Amino acid sequence: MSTTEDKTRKVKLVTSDNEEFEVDWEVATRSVLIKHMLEDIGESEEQAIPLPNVTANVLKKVLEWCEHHRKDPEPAPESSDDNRKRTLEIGDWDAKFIQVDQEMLFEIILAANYLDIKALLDVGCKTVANMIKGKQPEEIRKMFNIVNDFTPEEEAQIKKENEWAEDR
Amino acid sequence: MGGIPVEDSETGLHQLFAALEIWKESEFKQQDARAIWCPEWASASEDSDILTETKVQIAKRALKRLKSIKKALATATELLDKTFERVTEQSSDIIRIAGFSSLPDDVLARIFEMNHHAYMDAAECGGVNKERQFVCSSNILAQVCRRFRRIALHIPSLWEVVSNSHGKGWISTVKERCRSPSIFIAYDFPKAGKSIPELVEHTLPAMRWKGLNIHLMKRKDGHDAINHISTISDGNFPSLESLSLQLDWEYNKAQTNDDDVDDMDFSINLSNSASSLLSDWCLPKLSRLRLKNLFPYTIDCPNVRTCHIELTQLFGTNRWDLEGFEGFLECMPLIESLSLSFLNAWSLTRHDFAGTEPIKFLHLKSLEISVQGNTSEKFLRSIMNMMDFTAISDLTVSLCPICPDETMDSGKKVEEWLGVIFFLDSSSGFGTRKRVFPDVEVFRLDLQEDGDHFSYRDIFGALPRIRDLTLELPGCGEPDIPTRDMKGLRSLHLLKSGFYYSGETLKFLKEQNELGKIEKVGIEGCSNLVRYKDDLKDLLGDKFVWKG
Repeated sequence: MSTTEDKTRKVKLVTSDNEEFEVDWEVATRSVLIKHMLEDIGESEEQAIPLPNVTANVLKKVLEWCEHHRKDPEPAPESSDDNRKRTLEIGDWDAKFIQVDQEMLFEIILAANYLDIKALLDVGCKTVANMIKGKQPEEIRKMFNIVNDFTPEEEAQIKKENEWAEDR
Repeated sequence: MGGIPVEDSETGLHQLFAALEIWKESEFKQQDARAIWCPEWASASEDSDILTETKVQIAKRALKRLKSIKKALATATELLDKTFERVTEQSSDIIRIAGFSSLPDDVLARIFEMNHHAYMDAAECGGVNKERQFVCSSNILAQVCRRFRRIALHIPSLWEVVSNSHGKGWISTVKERCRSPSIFIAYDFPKAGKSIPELVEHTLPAMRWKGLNIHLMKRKDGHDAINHISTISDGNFPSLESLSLQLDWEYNKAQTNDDDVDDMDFSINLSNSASSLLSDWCLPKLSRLRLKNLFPYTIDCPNVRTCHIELTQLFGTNRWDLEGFEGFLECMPLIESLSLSFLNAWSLTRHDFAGTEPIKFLHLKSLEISVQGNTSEKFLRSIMNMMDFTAISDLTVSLCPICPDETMDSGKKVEEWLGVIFFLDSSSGFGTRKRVFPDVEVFRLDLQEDGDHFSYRDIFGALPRIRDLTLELPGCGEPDIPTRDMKGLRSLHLLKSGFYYSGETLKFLKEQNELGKIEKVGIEGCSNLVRYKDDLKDLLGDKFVWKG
């Protein structure tokens, strides 16, 4: 539970490329990782939180999301994860936010995973799931430049598993 | 790859390097640029002892030098641009590979689960067929690469779908991958009848079934499927979380094939024996129930949270047993979300449940009601009177009349339906005693058209706590939104509305905005409102979202 004092408090974050960001406590604590780190260091306002796995350009983007969602209710517990995953729909603002190139999309997903921001992680994962939806294996490989590394034996096994569907 | 022509550029390049060297020696500090690019001129121009003629010669040399350096720079820039383009092109693939492969297994697993859930939602509505891409979305992912396959095979739930439309070999394969299957039974392909017993026997014990989805094509199919499953399972489904029984009947076939079901009760579209067997099924964990064109009189599923019921017919005049329907609804005391969809629905029952005690759903938060075709006013009134909706916080009403003959006015039909939904005493229109939804905060209204005596004010009067309002009103007049009654409104969304815009809505928004409560206004697909776009943007700033 956040206090009024917390809401006015500023938090310093330092990225892997040594850039410092000063943000509101309410914005920073959308990240469960940062929230826990702040709880660990207590009242020491001057102490910066190091984020060695996030670069400045990615953190900037993540903080943009956190700022927009600063008033959102606390994420639901893990048990209701299933409901969150059930739909691939993404809100208008989030859909616009996540319109980035693939490199940045994966960076955001990785950062959300590391910083433990479940709602942002879901936005990223849903975007990738939507990209995959309805595609055939070859199309997925092409889209993400994935190499087909199956051995001939594995290919034969997959073909055998699916030949009943080919035989129409 | 092109290079720099040596003869033309060698001098220029030397001069460029010399200039850069001077700049470097000055530690890239700001100074007179002439001292970098043409040092001879920089000093000569300041020296009053040098003859004018000499200065002219120095100036000419300086200009030649500058021109030469500029040309060398242009060539180098062109070369750099080409290289940049080429490296970008070459590296984008490697960056993409690095991006995707950088995602850890648990994140990829999350993506796969989301992909599967979307597939399951579609399968639960439309069934599973033999088309390869519909066999199972996870099967597609498992054919992409070894890593995808390894991750997919480690998540049993991705392989839960088993259907009688699948090959025997495939059923055996997925049975090994997932111990708690979701059974999909389809009747819409040749030899379906024969494949169903084989599937059921292959996937026993039924105690492990997590989902059961039966897609029927004829009334008789329901009788057969329920009989068969009851026999082999003994009606015991301790793990079943989702049940879907859908009859997508084809009227002509139904007429010719239903004769052999002697005890068929057409008012529930199940045979008496099938309904009785279904009532005996023990479904303690069932949380999601979907029924289309049939319902049992009772069902033992006390933990259902989400229920979708669709009663629809394109032909014929089947009349539904609403007393039976009431009995069925009472079996779901913990329901949280109820979705009702009616197309050409009529009631067999004479009374309209006005004098009876409505069923109280203490946990019901969301109600979605869709009425279409020529559904009778009396049918809808019975449904509304049958339940107590005072606890709901989220209401969606969608009305689309299609009248079978020109004598019926579709606008009048909408008025009838709205009157029934929002008034207790209406008769062919709006009444005086409102059916109040005291806790509804989120309201969505989809109307294809409205009537002559129609008033939005009357509807909103029954919804005193609206915070989030969505109106989809193609073919309707501009809604007269009453400012006084909607002080709590936080967001308004207008979708695909084709009404002539008189400015009333803008006036309303201005008043609401002055109260400082409006947080978001979205307009989507309303090209007729484009001339007000700028006014709304000025008025609401970032709170306004326009989608053409």
